Amino acid sequence: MDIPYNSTARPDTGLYNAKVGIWLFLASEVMLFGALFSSYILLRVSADPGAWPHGLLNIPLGMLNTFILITSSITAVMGWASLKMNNFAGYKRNQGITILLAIVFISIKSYEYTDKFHHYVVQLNNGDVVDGHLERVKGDTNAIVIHEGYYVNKTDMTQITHAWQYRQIAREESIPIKLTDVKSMENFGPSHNAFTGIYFVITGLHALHIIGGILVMAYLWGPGSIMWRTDPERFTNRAEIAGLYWHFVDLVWIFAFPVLYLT
Amino acid sequence: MSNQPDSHDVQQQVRKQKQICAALLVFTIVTVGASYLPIESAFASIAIAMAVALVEAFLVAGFMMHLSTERKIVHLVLVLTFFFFTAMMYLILWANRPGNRLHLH
Repeated sequence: MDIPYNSTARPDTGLYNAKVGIWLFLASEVMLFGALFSSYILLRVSADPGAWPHGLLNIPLGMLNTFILITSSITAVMGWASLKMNNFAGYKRNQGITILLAIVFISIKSYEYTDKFHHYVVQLNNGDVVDGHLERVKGDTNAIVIHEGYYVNKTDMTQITHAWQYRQIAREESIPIKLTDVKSMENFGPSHNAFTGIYFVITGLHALHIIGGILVMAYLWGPGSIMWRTDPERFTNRAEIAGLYWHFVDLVWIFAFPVLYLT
Repeated sequence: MSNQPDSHDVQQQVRKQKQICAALLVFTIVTVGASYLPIESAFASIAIAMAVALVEAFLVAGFMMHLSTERKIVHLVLVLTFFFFTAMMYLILWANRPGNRLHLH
């Protein structure tokens, strides 16, 4: 039995099935990301002035990812437009570029995540604090080195009331530490503070959406493209739906980048 | 991505979308530039970032997703989403209002 309105529009709504479905799905996504962004903004605005961690994220990398995602949105449109003009090779080329750009986005994001998981705050037994990127010393199980870090002694630590004041201390190339001198240490993972917690939730959820988009677009680009021969209109509709989803993923990042990286 | 456009329409749409893409790239640079302005208030810096993001969102949703020419049922779905989102936000703000906190000391 054929399911009606897969390729043609339903007379009362003027839309084919998948289009109604994707808009309902995107509406639920607006609620999901809206709740997360609202939580972030409420936390950020209610924080004491100067106390909110600022400058933890790499702005040039975030900006590069924004450019990549915006460019991938236009290549997704060009892929769909190629199908509309019966140019299947054009679709393959543009959709392929979209998938590649999405993979580059995820690669940059995973580099940023790795950086955060290697960034530590080390509390020493004498009350001093070291903040920077941790590396183990080969052949010495009792030693670590903090690269490009800040060494804040106990007296200076009492003067620091806000996160940004760390930036006023001179950064050191490498700070060797004996593990026996360490009281505790914690990386900038999700449990570090409210900022890293919500940063990892929002960007992690967004990254999952990117991965989902890559899977769908790769299916349409590869094995799913066989439908172009049997039902080209339905295949074009599928490319349109994937494009709508991809624009939404772009839209979420358009909010995530300034809110998380710049404010 | 509107319904059943002909080849000429499609080419026009792609041209328009390329212009929107260029505008989005410019707005991204504007947002980054604005973040370096010496603004003390967290509320003001978020408001500026959100204002530029809203303009970008309008361009993406309105033109790239073709919401401006989409059918009524899609608009209805999004109006309902906006209503429920606003209601949810109001509930959060209402639950956090100072009058809801009991101070015994």
